[in-house]
Amino acid sequence: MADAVKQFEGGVLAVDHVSFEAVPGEFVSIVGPSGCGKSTLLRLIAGLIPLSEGSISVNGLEVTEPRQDVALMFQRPTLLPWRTALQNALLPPKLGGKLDEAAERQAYELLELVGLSGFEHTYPRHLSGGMQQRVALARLLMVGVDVLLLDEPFAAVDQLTRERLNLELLRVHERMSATALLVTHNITEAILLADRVVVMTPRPGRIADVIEVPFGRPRAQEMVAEREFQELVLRAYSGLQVPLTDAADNQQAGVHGG
Amino acid sequence: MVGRRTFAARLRLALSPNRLARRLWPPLLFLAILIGLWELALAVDYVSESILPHPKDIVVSFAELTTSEFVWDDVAATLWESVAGFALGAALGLALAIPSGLSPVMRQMLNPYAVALQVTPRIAIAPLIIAWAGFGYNSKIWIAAIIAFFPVYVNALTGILTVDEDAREMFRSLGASRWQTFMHLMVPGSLPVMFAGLKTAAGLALVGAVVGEFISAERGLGVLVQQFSSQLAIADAFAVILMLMFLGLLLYGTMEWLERTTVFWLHDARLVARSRRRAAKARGGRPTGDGGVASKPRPTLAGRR
Repeated sequence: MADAVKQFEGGVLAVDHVSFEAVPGEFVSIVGPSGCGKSTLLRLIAGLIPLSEGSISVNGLEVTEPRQDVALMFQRPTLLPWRTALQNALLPPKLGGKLDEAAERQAYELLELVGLSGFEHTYPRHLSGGMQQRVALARLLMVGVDVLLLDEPFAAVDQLTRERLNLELLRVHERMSATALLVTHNITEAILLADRVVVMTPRPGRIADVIEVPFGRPRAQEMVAEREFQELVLRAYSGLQVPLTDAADNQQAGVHGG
Repeated sequence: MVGRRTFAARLRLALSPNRLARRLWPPLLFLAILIGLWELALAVDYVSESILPHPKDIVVSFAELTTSEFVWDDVAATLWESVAGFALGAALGLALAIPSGLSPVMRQMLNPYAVALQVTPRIAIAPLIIAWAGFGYNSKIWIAAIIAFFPVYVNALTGILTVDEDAREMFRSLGASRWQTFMHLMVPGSLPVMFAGLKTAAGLALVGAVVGEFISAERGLGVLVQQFSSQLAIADAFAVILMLMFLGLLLYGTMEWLERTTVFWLHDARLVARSRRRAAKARGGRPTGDGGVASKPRPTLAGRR
């Protein structure tokens, strides 16, 4: 992405000359305070809204409309309540006119991968919030994309479930070749999951810092307690330009409450 | 675990003396109080018996009416007028709501007139319709249709307009065509609200049919009520009103049943039953070996909230 600018009608500048690049297969977190244009950034990359200036390319092709090699995961699961978990996961091939036995087999496998075997024929109403988000993840993986865009995918579930789902997401990502872009306002989460963390400033959204995360994989929740991890957290906070006294509070919230 | 019980078992449970007694005593108590007051008013001559008959006279009239030969023609007439009127009104409502829901221009074009039709007391149009469409069934069908139209139109429109914005974006990001978005998202998504409108419309269609019969008709329960009232056969008139109530119940019950089968995802027992059926079908139809289908939901890590 090069020099991307998004100015909404009415003059709100959401994304201001943002440039960065992700290596194929990399996991990049974008972290920033509310209203820094993170979600806008993902929608731009997904091709759901048009860019004001600059350009965004995925796989060497400029993004102008929603594409089949990029998939966006929303904050809410947005499952269709009249379709079972399996049918929801099968929505991408159904809409693409590629609903066949191979697709069905893949859907079963993906549901198993996200820990939902036995729940294939359950309707969303009878699934917990975390399980619904897993179905959404399986549906996303069904698209078979090169780039996964994750917009605070587990914001709607409680903290413990969220931590577990995050690590599962990481495990799933490791088994695929896709590049993942995760948007979050939770610094701990951003660092724990990513190879690189892009820190953004409040509106208009600019890149304040890019942090390389030196930890290897697989990651574990306990890593957040390590001294090196804490130093990264502090560095991210300084990039966010939040007053330091508040930062201490925010960090507590980040570790314990989200 | 409701879904595990068979229909017969659930019916037996619902009709078990204990359960029946518990559910029936409050409305029955109210009925007893009402009849008590009614009889009291007659006993102290607060109202004359020629104006308000004894409740038992109404029951007798009702029994006589249902066993008479002529009444079923009237029932059939009113039923046909309301059902056909409802179908026509609902079809018109849907036919206009769908383009309104999809195109803002269509919405701007149609909405003022839909509202104008709604705020006009449509019963005032009824004599005109009879002048146009004659004294037969057709005029009553049109009156019923005009009254039934509005709730269907408004609810279907609301249903289409309130489809989840995130779901729309998801469909867009999956490259769905407009037709696919309509068929797989908007139609099913608007069904719950739409059915609320259809239920109201079914009741209103009956009102329309009876009003049409009041104005001018040869057959129908509305004609009967009018005849009996003018002859001061009050008990008989009450009996016809009871019949109309049962007719209304029939229409409402049918819509209620249709709603439950169509919008199955809002009804827990139906969902469980469907899940089971699908799982059983998948077990039968899929090659085994990869362990994708477990016979029972395994309470693994996924189960925690």
